[in-house]
Amino acid sequence: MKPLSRRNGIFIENLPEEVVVYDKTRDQVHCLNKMAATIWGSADGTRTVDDLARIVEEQTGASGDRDLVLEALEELEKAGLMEAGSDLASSTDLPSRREAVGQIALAGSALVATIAAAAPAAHASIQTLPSDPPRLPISSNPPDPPPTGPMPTGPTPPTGFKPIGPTPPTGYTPTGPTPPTGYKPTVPTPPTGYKPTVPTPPTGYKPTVPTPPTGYEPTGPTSPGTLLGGNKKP
Amino acid sequence: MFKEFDATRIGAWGVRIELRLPPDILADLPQPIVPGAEFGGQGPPDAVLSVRVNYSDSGQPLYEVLENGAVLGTEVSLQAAVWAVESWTQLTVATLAKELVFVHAGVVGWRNKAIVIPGRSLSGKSTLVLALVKAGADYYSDEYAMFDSEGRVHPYWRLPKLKAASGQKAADSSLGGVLSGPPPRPTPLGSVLICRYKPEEPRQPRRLTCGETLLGLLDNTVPLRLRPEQAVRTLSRAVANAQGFEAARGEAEVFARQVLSLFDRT
Repeated sequence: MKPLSRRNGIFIENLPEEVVVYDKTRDQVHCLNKMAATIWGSADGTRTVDDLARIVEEQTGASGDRDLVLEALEELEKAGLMEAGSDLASSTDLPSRREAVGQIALAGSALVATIAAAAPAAHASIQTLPSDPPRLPISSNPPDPPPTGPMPTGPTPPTGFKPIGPTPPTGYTPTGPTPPTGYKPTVPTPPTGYKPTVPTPPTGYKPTVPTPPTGYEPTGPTSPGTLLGGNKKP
Repeated sequence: MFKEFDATRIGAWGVRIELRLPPDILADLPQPIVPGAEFGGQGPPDAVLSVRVNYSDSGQPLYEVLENGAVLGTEVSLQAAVWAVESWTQLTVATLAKELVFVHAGVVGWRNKAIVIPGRSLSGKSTLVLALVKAGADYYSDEYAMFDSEGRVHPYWRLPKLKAASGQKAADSSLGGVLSGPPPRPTPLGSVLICRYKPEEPRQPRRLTCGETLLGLLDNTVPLRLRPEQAVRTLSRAVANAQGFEAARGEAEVFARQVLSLFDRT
């Protein structure tokens, strides 16, 4: 078995002792501890599990235990960070769950922590009261006063209405979907939060730098970090 | 056919919003609607927030809040509609602002650094923020932590809002005197406190790794899906020299004193 880490649709941020991986295809964020980061960064499709175990020992100072490497690979695969075909879940090489958990406990850390990247609406502060939709027939609105100037266009925009401003970034959706008939507003359910781990860095660890995906170009803020000018309180 | 109301333009943090609201809602909105906002502005809006009013058979008004034509929710009282418009407007700015990364969090200043308390609505962060201020910290925000590209935290200068008996949030005026003055300066991040209210089993703060701390912030980052690279880079820069903790707390005032004492020791 020669595992291959997945590099498409992701970008990486290196931290002093860990690596954060953002998966754009799944909108998930993973934090890999040192061991997992070393394995993931070294799994280039040419190295065996034993090769990876040796690299872990050389680069992290931690025990190059084969079972631990396999467990890490399984966690990485579950996180969607390995290419299909690694076939780790069905590998007969995998240690028993109890053995692996015990060894991981000895290693002092969990391998991969994951959160889902929430859509903006998940951060809404509103708890909209579950109200029934307006019942028909609806009394007409109070009569409008005579118009004094150009009247704005009235009807509700059709499905697919886009804001009249600049085109939003790709992937942006309004913070609320067009509801079907009988829609009852509910409070958005926040995504499941991550579960913090308890890593203990081994002494002498030298973090590796996983190779960025081919064609990856780091991006950043478009301007220096200055406060927006001109915004005065009304 | 629904009446469409006159447009009011505001701009905040580079985001232009057009509001089309009934006069009674517009009149009851806080000023500014979004901290740092100003009226007017040129150019097409980035978002349009509107309210349309239906009437039930009994004559009760029902307020539908829309963004870009899509219904966000329906409110059955004027007060709830005002709060909904304020909240959605602020969230829209938090989503679309490109120069800053907005994290749903409370923020206080302590020893010239920011303590950021990420959390969703009703997670207790406003209560903890007020308790920290009472214990001597400087108020920055109870809703959003705004991070610039250098990793500094900017104040979100508005009155904190606590859940009232009605279930809706209401402004807490205890800091009115503080907010009448100028906001504090942007400050580097000192600590991140990921905290849940669990009075039945409080747990002492546990130190987090840099990665765990970053995940805790990203889990509450409003524009994460829209601008993931910017969000991850900005916040990783911010946490590089900060410490992170996770805790389950009991009463806020007791916990606030314990936490400030802990931060002084670490």
